[in-house]
Amino acid sequence: MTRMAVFWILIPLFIGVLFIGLYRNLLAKLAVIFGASGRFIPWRDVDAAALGQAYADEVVFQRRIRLRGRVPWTRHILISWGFSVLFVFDLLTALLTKYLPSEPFLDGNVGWLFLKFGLNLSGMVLLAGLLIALARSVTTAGTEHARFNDTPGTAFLLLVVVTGFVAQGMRFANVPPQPGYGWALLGYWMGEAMRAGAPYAGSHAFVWVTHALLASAFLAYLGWSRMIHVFAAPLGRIFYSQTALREAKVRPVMEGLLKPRAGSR
Amino acid sequence: MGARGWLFDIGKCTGCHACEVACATWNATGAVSWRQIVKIETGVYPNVGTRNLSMPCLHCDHAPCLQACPVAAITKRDDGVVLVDQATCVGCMFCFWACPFGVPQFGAEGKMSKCTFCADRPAELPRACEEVCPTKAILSGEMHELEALAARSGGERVGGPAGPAMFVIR
Repeated sequence: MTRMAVFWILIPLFIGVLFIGLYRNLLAKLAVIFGASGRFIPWRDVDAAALGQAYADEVVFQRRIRLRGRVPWTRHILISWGFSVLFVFDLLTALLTKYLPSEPFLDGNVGWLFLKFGLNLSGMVLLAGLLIALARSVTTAGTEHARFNDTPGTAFLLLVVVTGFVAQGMRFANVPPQPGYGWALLGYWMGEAMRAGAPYAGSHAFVWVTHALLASAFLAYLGWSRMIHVFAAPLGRIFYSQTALREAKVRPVMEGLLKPRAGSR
Repeated sequence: MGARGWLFDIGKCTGCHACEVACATWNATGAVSWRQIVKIETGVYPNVGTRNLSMPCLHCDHAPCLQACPVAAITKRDDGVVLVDQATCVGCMFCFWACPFGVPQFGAEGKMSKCTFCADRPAELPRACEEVCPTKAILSGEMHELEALAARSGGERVGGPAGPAMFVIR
């Protein structure tokens, strides 16, 4: 079996593990919630404005984390936005350069440079957030605060990002510089720095496969670790904005408890 | 030690909020209130009144919050007390949504928090809320003892599939 065959078997396996994790740790939990509350509100009672405001506060601007301080907010918003945009650009790159290749997105063209710029900028944003998180893990080690750090998750994602930049640097170092390559930012700068050791034929393939496997393994890890909060936290918090839903859930229970028994005081 | 829980006498509660204050003070809960007074108005004018319920976590036998937590941050001790591990909690609020009473609260640190049954308080002492209640509307203890007390006063266990560990005298 070739190395690439192992690679194409492992990636679907990791994605499968992610979906099993999402089923077990997210969908099954939502089923518990609906089973326990058994109360819904009609669509006409959904407060769309509150829903939108909660989405902006919790997901886009993450204002609740901002209340905890500038550093936690900076760290979290760099990681969450860096990761989300990088993920979208990764999908676009795979789609537009591999599966539905079109001229503007082929090597060196404008679309390709746009994809490289997006991938690298979001990757750099993510890297900055992860380095802040890692610095916190190091500086709080051995203290009470250390319990709150997700150091394994941070280190795992950092490894994915670093191998991605190294693989890209090797690729740039393997080819002569072209106009516009500078749009690849850190990937290009690393390529220039690594040019002295080029070509990286075998080692580039190894690092790239390692990066792809780590990235897929990280997706699997999302469903089985505290990282599941990327799905769960926005869901739970956005719906908290629905006052009618909260009232419909709790109020009848409380009124039932407080209802006097016949003949009682 | 057997499972522990609450006995609450609605008729005795005046809604003075002393339990809320004692809880917040003992547990240093800050802006979050682990005990909340719920009121309903009863009767028809001019014969009206209010009934109050001081609502803590009911440390349910089959706690839905525990079952709904996606990161297993909620555990149940041998004495029945349900606790949230702040370090593991990701603040997704699933426990709030799963709890039939909406008990878990979102804390300032982005974690869910709720009544710990004064986990750091010696078991032989009354809970902080119970200690300050001027009308003795709140009583904590082992469930079999509370059951006997409730039975003498016409109280009953709060119903529901979750098995809340509280008896109420209405």
